[in-house]
Amino acid sequence: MRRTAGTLIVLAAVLLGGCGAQSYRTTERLVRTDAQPCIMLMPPDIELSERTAGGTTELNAAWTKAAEAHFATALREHLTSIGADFVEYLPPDDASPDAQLLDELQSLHATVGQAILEYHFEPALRLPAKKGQFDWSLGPEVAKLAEHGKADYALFVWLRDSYASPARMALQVVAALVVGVPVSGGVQQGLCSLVDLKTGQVVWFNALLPREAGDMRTLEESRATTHLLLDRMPK
Amino acid sequence: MNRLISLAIILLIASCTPYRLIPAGKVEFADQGTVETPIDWNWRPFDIVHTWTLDGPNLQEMIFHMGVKDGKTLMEVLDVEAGFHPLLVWFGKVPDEVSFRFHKRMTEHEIVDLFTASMSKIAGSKVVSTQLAPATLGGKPGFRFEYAFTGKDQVRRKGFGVGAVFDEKLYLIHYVGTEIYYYDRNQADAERIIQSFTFKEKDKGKG
Repeated sequence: MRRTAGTLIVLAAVLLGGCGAQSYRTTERLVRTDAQPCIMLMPPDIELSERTAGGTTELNAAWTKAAEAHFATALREHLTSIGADFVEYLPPDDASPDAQLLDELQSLHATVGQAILEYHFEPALRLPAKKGQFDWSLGPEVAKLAEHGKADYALFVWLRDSYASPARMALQVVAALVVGVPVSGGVQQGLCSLVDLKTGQVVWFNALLPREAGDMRTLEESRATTHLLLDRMPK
Repeated sequence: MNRLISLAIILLIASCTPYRLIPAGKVEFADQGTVETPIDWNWRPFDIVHTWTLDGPNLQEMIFHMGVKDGKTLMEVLDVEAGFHPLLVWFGKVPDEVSFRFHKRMTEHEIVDLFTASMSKIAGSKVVSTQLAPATLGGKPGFRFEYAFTGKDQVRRKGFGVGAVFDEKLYLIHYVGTEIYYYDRNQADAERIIQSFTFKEKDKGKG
C-alpha cells in the first residue's frame, strides 16, 4: 500500500505539475469584525517521513514529534513578531465527541485545501459555477471548536515533509553520474488556512507547493518554512 | 498493482480536464434522458459517465450512469479484461481478477453490490451500502440506496443513489459528499435533480 501511495504522489506531482503549478499563493479576504481579531491555533497536522530508494515514504515518528515542537515554537514567534492576537486550542478529553471532530476537520481541511489549489489557483481548472469567487468552507460544524478557546478565527495547518534515505541518496548520485537522470529526493509541501469560527468559511489560504527544500527537523529551517506558510497572513 | 497505477493515472489525467458550466435549468443527456437543475453546476465527462460538482469532486459530486448495457462495467476504466494488454493474452496470460459487470437480469441487490464493488475500486477503499428500498427513476420502477466510505484522505463520505433498469440498460444517478458539510449542503438539490429525471422517448424525438 505504501509503495502505491508513494507512486501516486510522484504521479500526482508530475501530472499536476503538467497542469501548471506554482510555488505558493496567497488569497486574502479577512473580514474584520473587531479591531484585533483573535486567532485560535489548531494542533497542526504534520508528518515527516523517509523516502526509500524505491520511492516509497515511511513515516518517522521521532522526526514528526520534533517537527511539531519546532513548528509550535516558530509559529508563536512569527505571530508574536507580526503582533497577531492568538490563543491556544484547548483539546477536549479523548473520549469527547469533539476530539473526533477535530481529527475530521483536520482531514477535511487538507481535502478542501487540495481543492482550492486545484480549482481556484489553477486558472485553467477553475470551476465556472463559482464565478471566480474565492468561496470555500469547512462548514458550520467548525463553530464547535470555539467552545475550546475564545477566538474569531482558527488557523489550520497541514504539512508533509520527506527526506531521502541514505540508499536513495546513493541512487541519486549513481543516476546522475551514470545515466544523467535526476532522481528526486525528499519533498516538502503544506497548506494553511484561516477559518471563520462562526461560519467555517476559509477567509485566507496559503499553500507551500511541493519543493525539494526545507527541513522541519531543525528549528532554524522550521522557522523559514513557517514564514513561507504564514506569508501575508492577515492579523 | 499495475492496474491500480493505471487507474490512478487515468484519474489524475481526468483531474486536469477543465469543468464546464451547466446553467440552472433543463439538461439533456444525449438521447438518454433529461433533468432539471435548480442551480448551476460544473460538469465534465469522465470515462462514459457525466460528473457534476460544485466545489470539486472530492468534496461533493453527482454521477450519472446513463444506459449501461448488458455485459458492460459501470465505467470503461473498470473493465479489467478490456484493459489487459493483447500481448499478454497472446502469451497465454489472463487477468488475475474479473470485472464486475451489469447484467440485465440482475436484482436490485445485485446491482447495488455491483455499484459498491465498482465504487470501492474507484475510491480505493471499501464502500458500504444501506437502506436499499423500492423507488422510481423517470417514472420507471427502480430502487434507492445509501452508501458510505472513508476515503484515502481519511475523510468520511456518504451518498445516495437512485437507479432503474429500462430497455435492458441500467440508469443510475448518485450523489456523494463529505459527511461534514458538503453532503448536507446540496443533498436537497441532488434529490430534486434525480426526481426531475425523465427518459427520452426516442420515437418522439425523431422527425
